[in-house]
Amino acid sequence: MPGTRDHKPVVIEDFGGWWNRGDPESAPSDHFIVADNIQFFHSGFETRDGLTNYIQDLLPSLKIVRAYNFVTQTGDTILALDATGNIYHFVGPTVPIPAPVLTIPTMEDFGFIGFNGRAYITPFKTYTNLQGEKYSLGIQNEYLYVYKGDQTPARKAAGKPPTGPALGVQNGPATSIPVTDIGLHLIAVVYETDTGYMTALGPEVFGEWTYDGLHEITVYNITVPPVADTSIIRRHLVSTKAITSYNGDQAGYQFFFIPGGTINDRTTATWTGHYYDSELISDASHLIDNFSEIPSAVSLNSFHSRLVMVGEYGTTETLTGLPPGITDNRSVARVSFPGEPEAISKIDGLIVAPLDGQALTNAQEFRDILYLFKQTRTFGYSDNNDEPVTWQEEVLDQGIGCAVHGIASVLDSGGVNTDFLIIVDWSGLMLFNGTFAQPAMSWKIEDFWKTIDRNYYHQIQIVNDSLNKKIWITLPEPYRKMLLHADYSNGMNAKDIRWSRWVFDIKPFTITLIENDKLIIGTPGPGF
Amino acid sequence: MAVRGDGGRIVFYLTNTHGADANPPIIFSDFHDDSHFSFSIWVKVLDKTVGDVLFVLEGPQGSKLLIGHDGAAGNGQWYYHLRKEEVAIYAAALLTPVVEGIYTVFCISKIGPVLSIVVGNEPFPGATETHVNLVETVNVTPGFEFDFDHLAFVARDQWAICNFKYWNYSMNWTEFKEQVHYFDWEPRQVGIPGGDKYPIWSSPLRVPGDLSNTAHPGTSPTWSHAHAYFIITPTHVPMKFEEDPAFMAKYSFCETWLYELSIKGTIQQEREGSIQNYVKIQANPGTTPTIQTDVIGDKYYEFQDRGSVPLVPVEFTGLTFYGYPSNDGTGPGQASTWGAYKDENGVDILDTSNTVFQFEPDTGVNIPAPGASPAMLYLWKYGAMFRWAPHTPQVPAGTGTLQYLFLYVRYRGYPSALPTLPVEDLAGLFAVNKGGKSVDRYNRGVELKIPDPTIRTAYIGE
Repeated sequence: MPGTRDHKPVVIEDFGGWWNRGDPESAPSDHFIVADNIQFFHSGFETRDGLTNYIQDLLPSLKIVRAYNFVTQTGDTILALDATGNIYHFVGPTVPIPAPVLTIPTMEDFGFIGFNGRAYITPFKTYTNLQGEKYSLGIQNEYLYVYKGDQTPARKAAGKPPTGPALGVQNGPATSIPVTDIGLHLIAVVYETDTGYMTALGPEVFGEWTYDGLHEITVYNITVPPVADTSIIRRHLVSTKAITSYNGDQAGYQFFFIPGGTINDRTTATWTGHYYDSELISDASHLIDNFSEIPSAVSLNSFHSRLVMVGEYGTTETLTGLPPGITDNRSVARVSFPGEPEAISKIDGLIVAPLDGQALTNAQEFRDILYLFKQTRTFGYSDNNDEPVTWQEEVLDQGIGCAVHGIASVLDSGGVNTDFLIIVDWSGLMLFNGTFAQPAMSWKIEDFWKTIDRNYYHQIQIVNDSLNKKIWITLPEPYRKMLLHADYSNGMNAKDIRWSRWVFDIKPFTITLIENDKLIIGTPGPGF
Repeated sequence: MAVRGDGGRIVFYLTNTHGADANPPIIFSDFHDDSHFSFSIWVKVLDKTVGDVLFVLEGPQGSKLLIGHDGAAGNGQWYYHLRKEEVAIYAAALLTPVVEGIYTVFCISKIGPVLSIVVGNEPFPGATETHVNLVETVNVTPGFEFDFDHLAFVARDQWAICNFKYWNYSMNWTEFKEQVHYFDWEPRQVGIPGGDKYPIWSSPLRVPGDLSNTAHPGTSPTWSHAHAYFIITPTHVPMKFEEDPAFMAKYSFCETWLYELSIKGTIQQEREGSIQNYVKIQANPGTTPTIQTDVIGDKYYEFQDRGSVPLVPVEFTGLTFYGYPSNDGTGPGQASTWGAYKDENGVDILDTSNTVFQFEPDTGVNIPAPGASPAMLYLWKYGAMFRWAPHTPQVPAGTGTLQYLFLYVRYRGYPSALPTLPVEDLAGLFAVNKGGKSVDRYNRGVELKIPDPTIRTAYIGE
């Protein structure tokens, strides 16, 4: 055995994981050219953890294609979409599978964000352009939905304004002293939904009355909501201040909430009270310009307590009057009022990213900047305390962007962790700390990364278990049965991160973390 | 896949098949109802400190043969007990030490009052190159004769069982040696005169609680009211998979397979002694029609193989849908019964243009193309259409019934050894089980090993 007589054993102190870069023989001795189904601990490795079924159901029938952790007031739960467009809310593994909370047969995927204990859901799908390139947008004439987390069906976010007979105003009981300012006032009704959304003003014809100052004001024919729309829980009366020269344009005046003008039921049709113009402080005018049905998009996120939506296709309303050649709103981001995720102004609650043909894919707040991503573009926007349409744009990178699910969600929340973002880009797994750090985190497996079909990056989803310093990434075909697994406990850099591939008998379409670090895998089963 | 799991039994039993007490029609037309027979089964013990009964062969008068091992008490010894109706232990002896982690095959042969027990062990774990060296351990002459009533194998977590075979012949150890190492039905009679010795049943038992597959294509296609045998699990026990004996997994070629149909997502429940729980399809038009009327049955069933069909069979030769049509009720029943299907897209498929699609009491029906193909096997749903002839005056109709539903799948190919599980088992939500058992556990208790954890270095040293 002359070949082994002088053989010098190689001691591997720290196992560096999978290496897939360049010629196999260029792999360092502490890296392996195959590292499947292993996980790392300290300087060693072991067989990966097994799976167990999460839903204890003897009659399993769910084909899951997307799942998110929906953090409710009582704990972590799962919102999951099946292959036929049903979204279910699983509140625990042993609870019987509930009825879907939302069904949209054309929904291939959905974006989600939890906001004030409620789930905001936007259905979307993937389209193919004439060049064969795939891109994801909201579904045309579909909308943003809100789900309250109580197994009741999700409904369209926002809400339609009151409609019905003209609102009536007349003098109420006489008073001995002045109780109102004198002059013409307009009065309208605003619905408030069970999610706190204030609709636009209604009905079609507002109330109109000239106050004499010596009577209470009685409002009658107060619009009542449709019986079927149980989401409306109260109504508010809004009023202009005295109008000295009325021009007949009822929407052209500033409205304010009437103090004491809240009707805490759905049926009362009259209200009597009084107020001075000086008591009209809380402005309601902006409600007129808000969407009553918000167009669906691809991705939802929050920024300065605002809801941000990107990747809109559009609705009949928003697609009207577009310039020739533009068929959708792929570069439009919608931004709500602070603290009111369903209140999005059609006029100035939007950002238009550069119209370069690419669709917006993602949005993320980082260090007080709102970043919007396309597949190979990154833009930054600063909140100037004015309307979103006025926010200053900065083109951050014109070569690196992000996939639809390509920002690592951290534990059970958003994407920021230890002051960096982990982003899936065509060029690799990128660390973003205000700029994109080079080399990519996936440098060791760059050859493999380059084999991932760019047309299917929308199928990639990434989660970051920052407690245990582990990352998982779903992959498109032909790697559908795999997850990429990375361990960065030795360091969050291209050199010290350790990679492996996890292979399954199932196709992990979607992943999410619940209970801080429990990895949940959703799959539609064979045949997908 | 061999199977293991606590609390289940796999029973092979004889039922009445003639006259008013006739039980389900079953497949084997050439069973000889006499007192000579043979059977074999493989078992791998994972924990020899836990003793139990492996199987019991019972006769109708309380006589029985019992084989088990004594666990830690005897440091793991296989034993047999022979019981005569009035004598609890008529004969008993130790057979062989229990060896953990290798397969042991038990072969029982009976002809009249002579009973032989042959036992053999794999030479080493995972042995792929040689047959098990069988040794004729015991040759018992009980001095009494008992007929076959039923045979029950006990599923336990501490052992895995597989490859059950049953013959209508008494076989000697030389014949066993030729026959027990293969999953298939082929008679291997090297140097043995005396005609074919096809097994009546040959099941790898790779499917927990399921018929899985059977033997002898010469008998299977003919639906016969002969003798009924069944393999069941009395309890709904999640079973686990183990590797087959290595030699068989490598060299044994499966050829004919019979599968019981079931409702989507269900695992067949206890059926012992009762035909009421058999799957069946029914329809009743209310009253007899005045014109010829077709009524689609109330259920569709699906193929529920859980592990034995290779994804790419070497040769797919046919697929037949078996069912037994009858009229359940006092009124006039259906004039004819036809196969009705839903294809992979849920579209109804019905072909009454040819009687090959019509059920008769002792034949299966052809399945319209492309349903009779491996690709469609899992995707189609199998049902029935009942046709009533005109009947005047109109009277309450009987209930058209099609029951004892089976798919007879014929192909040549090696067992996949990788369960091709139904979609329902591999779809849904799963959690990484940190620190838990090192298997992938899917729906309904199905466990698969973690696919090949592998590392490979390109470094060749200095």
